[in-house]
Parts: sequence; structure tokens; C-alpha cells
Amino acid sequence: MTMSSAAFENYRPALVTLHNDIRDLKDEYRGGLRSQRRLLTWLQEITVRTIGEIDAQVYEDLPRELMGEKLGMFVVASVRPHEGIDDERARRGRELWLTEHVTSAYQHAFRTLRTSATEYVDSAEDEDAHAPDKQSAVAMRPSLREWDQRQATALTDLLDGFDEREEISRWLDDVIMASYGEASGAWMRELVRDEVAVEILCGQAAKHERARRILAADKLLPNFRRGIRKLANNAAEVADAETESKEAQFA
Amino acid sequence: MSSIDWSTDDTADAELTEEILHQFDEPVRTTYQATGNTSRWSDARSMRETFGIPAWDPDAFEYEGVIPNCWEHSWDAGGDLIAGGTDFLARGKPGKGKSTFGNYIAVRMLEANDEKVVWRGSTSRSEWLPLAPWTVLCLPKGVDVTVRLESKDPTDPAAELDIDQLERIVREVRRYRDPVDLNRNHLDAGQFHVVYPDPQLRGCQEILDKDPEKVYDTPPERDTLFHESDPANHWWFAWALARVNHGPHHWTTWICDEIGDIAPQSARKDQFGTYQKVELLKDLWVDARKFGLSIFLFGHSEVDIHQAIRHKIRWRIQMPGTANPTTSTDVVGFETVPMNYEMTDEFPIGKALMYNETHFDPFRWKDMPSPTDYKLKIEVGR
Repeated sequence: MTMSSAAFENYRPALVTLHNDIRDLKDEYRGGLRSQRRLLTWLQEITVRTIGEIDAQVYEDLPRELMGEKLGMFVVASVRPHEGIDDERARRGRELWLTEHVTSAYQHAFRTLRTSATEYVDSAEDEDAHAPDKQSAVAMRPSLREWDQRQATALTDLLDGFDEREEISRWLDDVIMASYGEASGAWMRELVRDEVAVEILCGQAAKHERARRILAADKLLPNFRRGIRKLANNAAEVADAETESKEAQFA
Repeated sequence: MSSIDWSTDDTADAELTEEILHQFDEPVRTTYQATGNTSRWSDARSMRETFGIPAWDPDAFEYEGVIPNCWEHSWDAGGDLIAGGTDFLARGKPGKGKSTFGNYIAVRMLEANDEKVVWRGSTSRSEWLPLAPWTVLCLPKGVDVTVRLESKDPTDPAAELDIDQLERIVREVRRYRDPVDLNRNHLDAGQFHVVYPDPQLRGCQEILDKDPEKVYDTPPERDTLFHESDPANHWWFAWALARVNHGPHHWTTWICDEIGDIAPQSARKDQFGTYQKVELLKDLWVDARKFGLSIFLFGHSEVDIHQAIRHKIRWRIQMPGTANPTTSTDVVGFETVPMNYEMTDEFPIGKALMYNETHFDPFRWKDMPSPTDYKLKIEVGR
């Protein structure tokens, strides 16, 4: 049984919000995800909430598993119905994955946030704006929430597909923003220029959707992860602006 | 017999040698350490004035356990602080200020603890030259020593010096017999010493034999671990053991640039017993702390240094230009690393990050330029 956070007085709502967010995402994952599409959006959500601390290897392996280039349990165990393995094994696989990747990432994220999480001493007893269940921002950090939304939108846009070529180049601008400038390289130009790429991005057939999922796993999620790491780094610097601007002492 | 004609016209004549010597600052012989007159400035003060180094201020740092605890040595530290000698490993790529920082930390040790500072001299390097005017240069007795001044521009002629001319560059040249003689009769509190090892390793095996607890395999076809055919830098292992076992146990700091040359990760049980000597250094580490010997190591990267040694080092310094580790897997001997972010890759030269397992603190050091482009190359013959 999980202890409801409402049972405690919340002096540090930022950390509680983080905790609740991650708990909800883990609960959903434990039951198995409904589609590969959800696996991608789910990974995007948990990436922001662990401030990019999930192992880079996960993002490297995912597109290869989706393509069938690499044999792995992650996709098969995560998405219901499971192909080729029984439900019990899939359930164990998911549990293992959470322990291996999310627990330590959560720990890192927590350690990062705890130094700058503000304590609201007066607020715990009263109903007020700091109550964790009223928080919409990721770990109460507005910039993280903003980028969470940008990333979710850019990802969904890709998975839904586009109507015409012009939409693609507008979307690429969104990707740069959503990845906090981390997305770069020739692939972005190729997507507009290459006829096959345009067909994939605008097509409505199942094979087009699958190709877009692979593209999302290959190009968007790793860059989103990097972007969030950079963003969280800067966010911390802003919070600590006063001490940061002071030059280090002579040892 | 050499079949090659090594003679060359590229050696500076007396006039040019004089000119080169003039580029060096005059040795400082007016301080308390040089004259014994307590009303004079100390060496540390004199160095600080020359380079504009601010006085040591432990209160400037947020975490007492990181920089102040490592710098200030005390027999009775109290609290969570570590008593006795300390150690650190500073890691950084070439040209990122390691050697300058080595000079800087030498000044701090003289200032904060009135320490005997020992700089590991080596033929190919003379990064200690900024401190040359205050330097007591210790060379082995009874062996040939050749001294050359070589320009950074290798096409310029080099100058050959007599040993006597060395005292135009450094305060004093002393000759020691063996490690015990060096420690007991030639090192002085509050002074900066550059020590060149004895390539004949005289007395080294005897020092090891005197310690019944230190027993190691001897290299194949030899009865002793130390032998005159060993690389000269193996002398340092015996020196450290002599310092720990036979004192005197005044605060002593060993500044060891390029530790990877002495205790490389690749150390094996070779014909010189390199691995056994690395083990010896590892085994005496705890006693070094107890007997007030601080060991400050500098290297290019973590993996340059044998892991047995890395396990023992309690502080790390990340020099600028390379990212600090964020996980403990990158730091042998640390269970945790306090940093969550990579910071030091964007630090400018002159700023670095020091950390232990619980906290980290950034700090700066002063540039300490050498007055000349010439390097001092001291070769000690066998």
C-alpha cells in the first residue's frame, strides 16, 4: 500500500510534486502501456521528470529495438499485447526496467532538486498555492513545465504526421526549441529535401506511422533528453544567481 | 663506446650563457629561512609578495572539509575533519595549469603549515622554475651532474652550466647521500626543496630491509627489490618509506607532478619490480598520514595512475578543460561523488574544482609565470 502524501504536511512542495509525478508514471508503466506510441510519449514525460537522468543507453537502444535491429525486452515487455512472451515475464521485465533505470534516475533528480527546493514554513497547515496537489509545473519549475509541453507537442505532431511539406519545416523549428537547441545536423535538412522522408512524414499508412515512431525514438527523444539536462542545469544556475556571480576564492 | 659524434656547435659561449643566466631572477637570500633572522619575512611571505598571492583564508570556503581540511594540517583536527597528512590527485590535460597550481600549492603549504615542501625533480621537467629564487636544490652526492639551460625554441643554442653556476638560479645546492640523510640533514621547515633522485638508489634496499612488515616478491633473477639498475624514479618509493619510518616527522609535503611516470596503471611485476613498489607506496599511505607526510599528486587522467594508489586518495581536484565526473564509477576509491553536473569543462584556466565524497568547492589560483623561456635540464649520471 502506498502512503498518500496528503497524510504529511508538505513543507517542500517541489519535491513532493516530483515524487507524485514519477509515482503516477511508474504506476501506469507497471500495468503495461497500451501502444508503442504511448511508450514514446511516456518516455518523453518521464525524461523531463527525471531531468534527463535516465541512462543514455536506453535512448540509443530504443530505435534499434523498434526497427528490429536489436533484440531487447524493453519494447516487447512495455507494450501490451506482448509479442512472443507471456504476460508474467513481461510484468517482471517491466519491474526490472523500472528498478534499473527509473529508480536511480529519480534519485539523481531528487538530489539535484533538493538543494534548491524552497521550504515554505508557514504554508504547510493552510490551504495555499504551494500545496503539491495544486502544482501543475514539473517539480514546480515553470521552465521545465514549459519545455515538457513543447516536447510533448513536437512529439505528437510527428507521430500524427503532416499534411504538407511546409508544415515539416515549421515543425523542425519547434523541435529546435523543444530540444533547447540540442537537435541539429544534416537529418533536419534531409527531412524537408528528401522525397522518401517527406512521404514518410506525410503518409497515413501503418508503415509510415511505424517509420515516424522510429524517427521519433532516434532523433527526438535523445535530443530532448540532452536539452532537458542543459535546461535543468541553467535553471539551477538562475536560482543560485547570487552565489554563482561571486567568483571562486583563492585556494 | 659510442660510434656517433655527439659534439655540436650549438652550445652557447660564455657570453651568451651569461646573458641567459641574467634572464633568471636573483636568488632570494634575505628571508628568515635563508638568514635565520626571525625578524625577516618568511619565504612564504616573500613568495606571496612576488606573485601577488592573497593570504590564506580558510573562512572563504563554504565547506571546511574540502579545501581547508586538505590545506591546513593538524595533529588534532576535531569534528569530522581529518588529522595528520592529507593527499589529493589533481587531474587535467597538459597546459591547463597543473604545474602552476603545483607551485601555488607549495607556497600555501609553506604559509599555512611551515611545511617542508619536496618537489619531485625530474630530468625532463623544470616546472618549479617560478620558485627557483627560493629553492634549495638537493642532488645526490658523488655522481656526475650535467646542467643545461635549454630554450623553448629548440633551434636556439643551449647553455651548459657548472654546478657552481646553479646558485645563480637557486638559493642553495645541497648534496645528499641517501634518503635518510636527505630527510634528516637537508630538508628545512618552511622551505621549498627540489629533489633529484639518486640513480644508484643507494641505501634504498637497506631502508626496506629495516621494515619487517614490508615484504614483497623480488623481481626474477634478483635478491633485492631495489637495485642500482632500477629506473631512477624508483628512488622515490624508498624515500617515502624512509620519511615515514625514520622521520623526522615534521610536516612534509611531497609534490609529485606526473605521478603516472612513477606509479602507472600499467605497473607489472617486471624486472624492476614496479608493481611491488606501487604496492609498497600503497601500504605506507596510511602511515604517511599518521606521520604528517602529505602527498599531492598531479596527472593527466584518473587511469594514468595505478588504482591501488587511487583507492587511497581522499581528495580530488579537477582542473579546467575537462568535465568533472558526476558518478562514482569514474573515481576509484569514492563511493559517491557530490557533483550532479559537469562544470569544470567550462572553467577558465586558473579555476578548478576540489571535492571529496561529500562536498565540492570551486577555487582559483594565481598565475606564477617563470621569468624566462629557458628550461633547466639537470641530468644525474649513474
